[in-house]
This record gives sequence, structure tokens and C-alpha cells, in this order.
Amino acid sequence: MNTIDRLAHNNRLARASAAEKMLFSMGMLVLAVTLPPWPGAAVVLVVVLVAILGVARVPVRAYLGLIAGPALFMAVSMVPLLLTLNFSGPGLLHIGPAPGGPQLAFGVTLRALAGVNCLFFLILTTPVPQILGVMHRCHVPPVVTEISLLVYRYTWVFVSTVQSIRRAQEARLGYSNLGRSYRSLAMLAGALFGQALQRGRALEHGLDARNWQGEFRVLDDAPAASASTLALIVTLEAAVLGVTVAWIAL
Amino acid sequence: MDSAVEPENLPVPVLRAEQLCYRYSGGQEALCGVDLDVGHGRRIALVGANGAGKTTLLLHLNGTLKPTSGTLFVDGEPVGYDRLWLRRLRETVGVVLQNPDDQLFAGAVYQDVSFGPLNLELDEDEVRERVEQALEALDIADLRHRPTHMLSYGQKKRVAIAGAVAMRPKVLILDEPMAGLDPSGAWHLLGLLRRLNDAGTSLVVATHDMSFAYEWAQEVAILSGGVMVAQGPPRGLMTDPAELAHYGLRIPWIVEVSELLTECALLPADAMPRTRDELGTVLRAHLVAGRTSNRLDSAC
Repeated sequence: MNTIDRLAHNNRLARASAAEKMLFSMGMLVLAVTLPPWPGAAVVLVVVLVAILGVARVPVRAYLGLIAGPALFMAVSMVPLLLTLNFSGPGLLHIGPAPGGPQLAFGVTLRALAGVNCLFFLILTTPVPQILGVMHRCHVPPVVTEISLLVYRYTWVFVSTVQSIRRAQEARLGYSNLGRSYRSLAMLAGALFGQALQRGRALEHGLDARNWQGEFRVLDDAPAASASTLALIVTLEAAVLGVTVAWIAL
Repeated sequence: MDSAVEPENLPVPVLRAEQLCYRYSGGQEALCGVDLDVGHGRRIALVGANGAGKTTLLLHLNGTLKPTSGTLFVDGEPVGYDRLWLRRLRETVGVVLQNPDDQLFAGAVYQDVSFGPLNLELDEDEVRERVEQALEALDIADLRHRPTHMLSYGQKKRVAIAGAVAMRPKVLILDEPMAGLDPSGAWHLLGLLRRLNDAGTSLVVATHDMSFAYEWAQEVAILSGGVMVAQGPPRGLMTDPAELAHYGLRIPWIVEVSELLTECALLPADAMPRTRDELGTVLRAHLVAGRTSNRLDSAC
């Protein structure tokens, strides 16, 4: 989670308009899911990978580390698609290759991979507060966006707190055996809960001091989406569609 | 120039606390009969040991806490605690507490600093200008897009202060602003405080750094056990070690050194330098005079 956050803030597209990034990501996602896997999803995959690694310059190693999880899951999911289980016939259980299995497995995996990468593009180039900003402009209720922002912000505070308390406990042998570990963990949770309440109250005071009116109204200096870029993205998506259709027709 | 007595013809203080008492809901008494006068453009150090009630008092000064008895005055008018009054109070009085994590909430620095001015219902251009100025003043303009959890402690402190400065209060109150800052950060902050003060902002700094208070403040207010012991010029209040020890404080380093030098007759008894430079000046003048009249004491 820390890696994703860091990448989202430090990539080359971090300062680009969030609306543009969302249009690209969601548009490609729709294409990946609706077009036939070959060649549609494959084209989407290539385009999105170029966007992530080439345009946004996300480091390849970091990307591979993050895609490993979903990739492993997809690899494992291929197995049931390749085989059939048959309870009729001789013997207790009959496992054999499924007719049309390879094509199905290939298609599903390709589509899943393309879809996952569309989302990866979004999360690796767009910091959470930017996404919340877009949601706010789309008139998502402030309750949702403000609570999300607080969750995001305080996640880091609590991760750091957990780390500090845990290290302090370890230094005093709090995790030296199983029984103690459970006890220490329980105390850690209790301390965190207490701190959460305290911080909530303190934040309230801090906000009051700046004349908080009940809403987290803030200004952004993020660039607005430029019409030309949006048009470019739509054109790109149309091109993907066109290439796929042409390929199939030939 | 520094006067402890306030005759009737002096201007009304911008902020005034009169006989504030505060009792926590658990029954514990935190403040008892506290008075504080903050004049226009004054530099006041609020000193006291840990637990003396400094933070509690500061929370009263911007209406976060309501005293169980006593009154707060802004420009001579008693403060009410309704929405309009609280807005006026917080426009006039900016409070920056010690822990920056308790004050920063937004996704990035620029947004967080814009929160205060936006709540003053200023138009967007004005808000943007104020944010830029505040970022420049605190030397964090290059951090504007950084999310708050990717800042160091010192940077977070500066963002918190920028958020208050952007509201352009008449009185800026800081709770231990130097705590946790490295010498460079502290030096920059002092520069900012001087610029704000030169522009007319009153400053109240709560601290237990006696040397800083002695050197920097025009007035010192000593809080002990929830009681305001005294408020006045530093030279009058911070030179008796026994008295200060009673309040959990000690005399500033420079006072100690001056007294030592006076004992060794290297400094005239009436010299009360407040800063290192003043000490240097007086010392050199005295030594030159001593050599001229050939009068060096051996009692040392």
C-alpha cells in the first residue's frame, strides 16, 4: 500500500489532470471487458502497459512486484478452466481436458490481465486525494469523500503509530513468546483505539481553530482537464476499437 | 518603553483574558483566576512548567474551551460563544498547537493551507494569493503538492503554521513552536515571527525555553499551577532563581552568566544584558574601562 501511494505521487503523470486519467483508465477498462479477448483485450493491454511503463515511467521492478499477486491468482484460476471434472463413467472421479479449454483460459486470462492493468494505471498514477477531488466534482456526497479522505490521511498516521508502539514493545520483549505476543497485540490494539479517539478530538480542535464550517472545503492547484487531451484519449480508445474490428473483419 | 502598568489612556488590548477559571469535566481544576493582556503588536512569552496550564489557556484564547468563569475580550468586547462570535474570534486569534498531526488533514500541503482562508469566505483569488504568501513565508512553496504523511516533523510544523498565517490573524499564538525543529528551522521560524511582528501581528509564544523567552519577548507571563503569577517585562520577572524554581522554571542562561561575571567583577552590577550581543558589548566596554583605570579585582 505504501509502495502504491509512493508511486502514485512520484510518477510522471502525477500532476496530470485526474479527469483525464480516469477517462483513459475507465474507457480502456470498458473496452477490455466488452471487446473479444483476442485481439481486443490484447491491444488494450499493450496500450495500457505502454502508458504505465512508458508514459508514466513507473519503475518496471516496482510494477512487476505489484502485478505478481494478481498474475499468480490468474495463473491459478486458469487450471479449472483447462480441466473438467466428471463424476459419471468408470472410477470415482474423472479429470480430463475440457473441450475448448485452452481458448477459454487464454481469453479469460487475457481479458482479466487487461482489466487489472487498466485499474493499475489509475492507482499508480493518481494519488487518492486527486481521485477524491474528481468524485467531489462529480457531486458524490461530501460525507463519502470527506470520510474517505480522513481514512486515507489517518491510515498513515496509524501505520506509523503501530510501528512505533510495536518496536517499543519488542524492545521490552513483548513478543518473546506466543502468550506474550497475543497480550502485546491486544494492548497495541487498545492503545491504537484510545489514540484514535484522542486524535479525533484533537483534530476537531485544530479544525475549529481555522473556523471549520463543517465541510472540508479546500482549494486545489491541480490542472483542469484540457479538452485537447480528452479528445486525444477518446480518439485513442476509438482507435483501439477500430483496430480490433478491422482485425476481426480480415 | 516596557511598562508593566497600564494607564487608562493606553489603547485597548486586542485580546484580553480576565479571571479565567476552568474546571475539566472530571472535576480537575486547570485554571484559576488567570489574567492575560495581549496588546497590539506585542511579543509575549507565556512560560510555565509542564502541567501549569499553558495549553489549556491557549485553547481558551480561540474559543475552543469555554471558561467556567471569567471573560475573554476581543478589542474590548466580551466574547460570546455563538457561531458569529466564534468566527470573529478565530479570524482575530490564530492558535497553532504543538502536534502538527492534529492539525493537518487534507491530501496535500496546498489544500491544507487553503482550508483556513476558504472558511473566512474570501473569494478564490484572494485565497490563492494568501496561500502563496503563506507558503513563501514558511519556505515550503516547493512542498505544495506533497501529501502530509510524506513530510518530516519540521515540515509538518511549518505547514501547520502556514495554515494559521494564511488567515492573517491579529494575534498569532504558538504552542512550543521551536520544539522539534533543528537550529536552521528554528532560525527561519524566528525570522518569520519577526516579519509578522514588524507588520503588526501580536505574538504569543508558549514555551519553557527560558533563554528564548528572555531574549525575544517584550513581556513575559508566568503561569504556575493554573494561576497567572505575573505578566511584565522579562528583566523584572526572570532574574530571581529561587522564585522561578518555585514555579518549576529556572533563570535564563544569560542571567546566570551575567551574575557570574559580575561576581568576578568582569561586569558592572547594573548590567542586565538580554542577548549574547548585548553581553558582548557590555563586557568589552567594561574590560576596556578596567584596563584603562587598572582596576582588576582578584576576588574570583
